[in-house]
Amino acid sequence: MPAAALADAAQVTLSGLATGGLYAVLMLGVILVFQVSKNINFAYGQTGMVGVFLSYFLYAVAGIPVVAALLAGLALALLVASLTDRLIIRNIPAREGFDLVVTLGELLLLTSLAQLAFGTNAQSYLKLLTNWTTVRGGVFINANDILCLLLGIAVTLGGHIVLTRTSLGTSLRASAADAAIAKSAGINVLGLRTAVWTVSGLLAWVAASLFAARLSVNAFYMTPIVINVFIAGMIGGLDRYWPPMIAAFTIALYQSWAIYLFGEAAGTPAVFILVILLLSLVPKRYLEERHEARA
Amino acid sequence: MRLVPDLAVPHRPFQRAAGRRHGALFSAVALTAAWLAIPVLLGQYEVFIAAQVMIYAVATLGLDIVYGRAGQLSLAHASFFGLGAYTAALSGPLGIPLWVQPELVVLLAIAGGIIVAVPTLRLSGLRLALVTLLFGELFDWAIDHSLALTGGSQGMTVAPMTIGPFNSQGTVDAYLLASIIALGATLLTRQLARSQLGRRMLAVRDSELASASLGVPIVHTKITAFILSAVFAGAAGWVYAYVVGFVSPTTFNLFASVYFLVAVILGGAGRITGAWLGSAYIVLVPEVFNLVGYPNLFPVLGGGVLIAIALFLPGGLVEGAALIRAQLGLHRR
Repeated sequence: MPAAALADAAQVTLSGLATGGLYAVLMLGVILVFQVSKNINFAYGQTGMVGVFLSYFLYAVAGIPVVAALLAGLALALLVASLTDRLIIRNIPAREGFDLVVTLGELLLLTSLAQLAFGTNAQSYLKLLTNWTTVRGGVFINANDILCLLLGIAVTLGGHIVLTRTSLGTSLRASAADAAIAKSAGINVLGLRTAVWTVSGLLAWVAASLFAARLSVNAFYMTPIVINVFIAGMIGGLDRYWPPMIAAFTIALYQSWAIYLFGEAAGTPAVFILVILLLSLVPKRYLEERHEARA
Repeated sequence: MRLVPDLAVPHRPFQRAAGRRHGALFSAVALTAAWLAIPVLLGQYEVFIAAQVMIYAVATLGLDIVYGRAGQLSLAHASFFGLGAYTAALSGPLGIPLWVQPELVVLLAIAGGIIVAVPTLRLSGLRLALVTLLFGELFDWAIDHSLALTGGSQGMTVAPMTIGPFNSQGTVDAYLLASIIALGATLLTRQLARSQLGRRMLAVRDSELASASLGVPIVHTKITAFILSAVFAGAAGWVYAYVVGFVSPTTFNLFASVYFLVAVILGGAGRITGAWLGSAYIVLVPEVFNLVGYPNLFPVLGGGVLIAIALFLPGGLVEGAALIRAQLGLHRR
């Protein structure tokens, strides 16, 4: 294989894995929320988006120092995530699929509020290392790509360690398995649940910030990203840990290669074809949603 | 405890049936009077908006069949609406005669319904929502990437449907065309609710396991629901394109599907009146916001309304009205 082709392959792979790292960051939030509260939050990406847009407004328009603006954006994302649990999710009527419906409403609400407050034009966010580039063997290595990849790996391993090796993880797994028994054993199930939702807000904000540094963003920019993360979750199964996390990296790599081989327009149909193939080929028992009581 | 049956009890069902008949007759007369009064009393723009309410009611009834009755959450509904609309839009350039188009729309919608339904038969919840959403995204992608044919994201104009003096973009003609299709869709849905198929859908929605144990053909019922839903949306989209005269992908994207969902849930899932109320909301309220100079507030309200109704009035406005009647002691005995 010629050196140029090898360099291209390495470039595509690095870019795909960097995106996969951010998908993994988002995926950890989806898994934690699903396992602890059995809910899916369609507005998950918008939780991070509103934080990013607030930061942008504060430093670019209001002239507030960047660190203070970032902290304010983070605080907003955490607030939105915890309020989603406290005010919305806990009050959902016991009807199948209503968490999806309600969070679709929240998706619409947050997107339109962001458009109203910050405008509809695409914005350029903080660079966050995207302008630090070096060339090694014909491959452009961007510091932001490396950061995203390392963050994805760290979050994946960290999530596993917290869930399996700490008392907090034991409490989380106990709450996920049976909230009533966990409560009788002295675990503050509701508090833990809100904490998990808040952590998901943190993860959404981190991923949204890093994606915003890589793209020119408008209020919709997190929607297709979160759809890809949900697809990875659908493929891996949200009641497991490693399969969806690996699927997050894999789907980004797959999409990156599809775009490289067939052009920019191939991204959407490539994911669609993958999903249809999987639905056709995987055994029925794999698709049974025994743990998705309400989702 | 009363052990001897009350002799007055047996005639109550007859009273109830007579009351229902009177109520239905009164409603029919009132609706017909309103239908006749709209083009006579209102201006051209208001009549055009009324036609749009009827068109959206047909599409909303379609989503109500698959979601409200069969319990299958579809986020591809706006795409079926778009399928019908783009069939009308492309028929002119492609030289498809008018008399072939309704059949073509129905066939395409049936094919679309089957294509969406078959891979999703084994799915529910998030997986079903995601796969239907992917179908919707694929439709948007196809429109965006066929620039020469559809105008891509810029959209395309649609020549009016003309038959003799009839012109689909004339106000009263548009109103008549929309009325015909809305009446047909409403009567069909009413008949469906009373049919064995309608009851099967409700059974599948409430419990697939129990339905299967009673011999309800789950696969057949789900596919039929998706097909009917797609045909309703496709037909509505076809009329929409001819009445409005312009189509663009933003009318048929994920947010449009969410608005249809807002319409079904706001009105009351599984209820014909609810679908009509919901479609009136998604057509009229944006117009009100346009009038007062705040068109961007409608999506905010749409999201808020979806959350509020789902949390506090999950049965929608129809159930809310029933609750109010019960509170006031106006419910039928």
